[in-house]
Amino acid sequence: MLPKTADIVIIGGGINGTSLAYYLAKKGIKNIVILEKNFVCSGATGRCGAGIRQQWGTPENTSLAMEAVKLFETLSEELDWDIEYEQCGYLIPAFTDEFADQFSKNVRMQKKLGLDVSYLTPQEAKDIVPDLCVDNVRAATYCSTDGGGNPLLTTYAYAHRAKELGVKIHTKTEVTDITVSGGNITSVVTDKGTISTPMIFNAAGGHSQEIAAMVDIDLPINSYRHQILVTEPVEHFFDPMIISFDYNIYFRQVKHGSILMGCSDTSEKPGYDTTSTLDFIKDITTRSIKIMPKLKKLNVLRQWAGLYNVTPDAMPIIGDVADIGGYFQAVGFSGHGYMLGPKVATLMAELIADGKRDEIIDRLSLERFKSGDITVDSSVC
Amino acid sequence: MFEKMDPEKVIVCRCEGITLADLRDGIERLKINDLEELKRIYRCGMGPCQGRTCEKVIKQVIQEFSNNEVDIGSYSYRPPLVPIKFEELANVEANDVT
Repeated sequence: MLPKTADIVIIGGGINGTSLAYYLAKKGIKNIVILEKNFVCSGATGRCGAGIRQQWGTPENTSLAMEAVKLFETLSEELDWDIEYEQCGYLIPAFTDEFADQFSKNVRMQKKLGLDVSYLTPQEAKDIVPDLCVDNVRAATYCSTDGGGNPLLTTYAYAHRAKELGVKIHTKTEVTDITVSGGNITSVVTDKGTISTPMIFNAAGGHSQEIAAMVDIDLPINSYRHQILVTEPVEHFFDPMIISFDYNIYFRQVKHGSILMGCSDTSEKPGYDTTSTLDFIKDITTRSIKIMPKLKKLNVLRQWAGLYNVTPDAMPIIGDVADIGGYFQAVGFSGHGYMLGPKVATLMAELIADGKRDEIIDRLSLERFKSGDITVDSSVC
Repeated sequence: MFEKMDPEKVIVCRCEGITLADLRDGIERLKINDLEELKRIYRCGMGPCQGRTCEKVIKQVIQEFSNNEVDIGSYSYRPPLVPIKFEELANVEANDVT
């Protein structure tokens, strides 16, 4: 049964919603309800590429990710659940001079922020991943403290610990409306009933703009399908996540032994379609074999798709808004919600429970788009 | 019917080596009785058979160890139908990336 009242209703049962619920409950906030229209981790988090990287193109994304890594380093211990976090590194080869130049600028910015990142020759890249084909590689960047985790286990661990602290999670419950009175949130309407609440938190991932529209907030966000596949598990043969912006591809051999691999299709139109296509699987296998010929003997087990919730500058929109009291959000992660979500959740919990406003919240607020002066992070694929 | 079996010895998903003990942990300790959720935590149904072998057994296990009649759901089947090699899928004549 849906409760009649809550102190805060979190919309979305992915990494953002469950981690926020956990950190709020830990701070002593009571009557926290998570509403999830399918099941926990059914949306973008459970469909993502599982990487956790700090090598970004803007200082905001880079410093947020560096903080996130600090959090991930002790997260299995904190949640008493092995989330398969590993610092296996990220290797980013550049196949064109254009990207090689951009990477050297990125590395300078990242180093200034204190990140231990290197600019490598093709041979040095091959030393890290002997099966990488470096024939056309101009340069590469590498950060050994980047890595990945298991988004499914991370989310279920947060959800479970949140439940132990009293958080109520209602799955198969879809939000259909949000009511505002006198400029303040008053209730959330769902297909299972209405909950009176003074606060809502939009953590709806690929559907965040639909939730915001219910309170007449027009988010500058579009969702795009991104497809991904997983191979059969094989003996471990390379450590880092490899990404290429030239080939628009990323892949990593996860602890289980299988290789997770995704690529962007720049012709994809905004929308909510998550069906799989044959074109994708033909395209990505073609591209990946060029980077790592050894892959051609591997079997594809499964393909699926999820939504990137994309902002104009590829950085998330977080915090409260000027016009509506009790509305909070962590949305528009542009494909990187798993790696940044838990850190953002700690900042949001401090904002909501303690009134403490970290300076990054203002830099990543919805307000930033009003000036029209934004810096786009192009290190996205 | 599963109550009397040694949960450590009964394999419910052979591709991923998931035991009855794993599933009972999810159902009884974590209080999860949705097939899709158990799959995401324990990997049952994520192997080469994609759940076609184990789905029926796992549904029975959930029904038996959940307290109430529950909506178990079913696996979302993903392509390809059977495992396929990269080299069979890749367009080897394709020009370089654009």
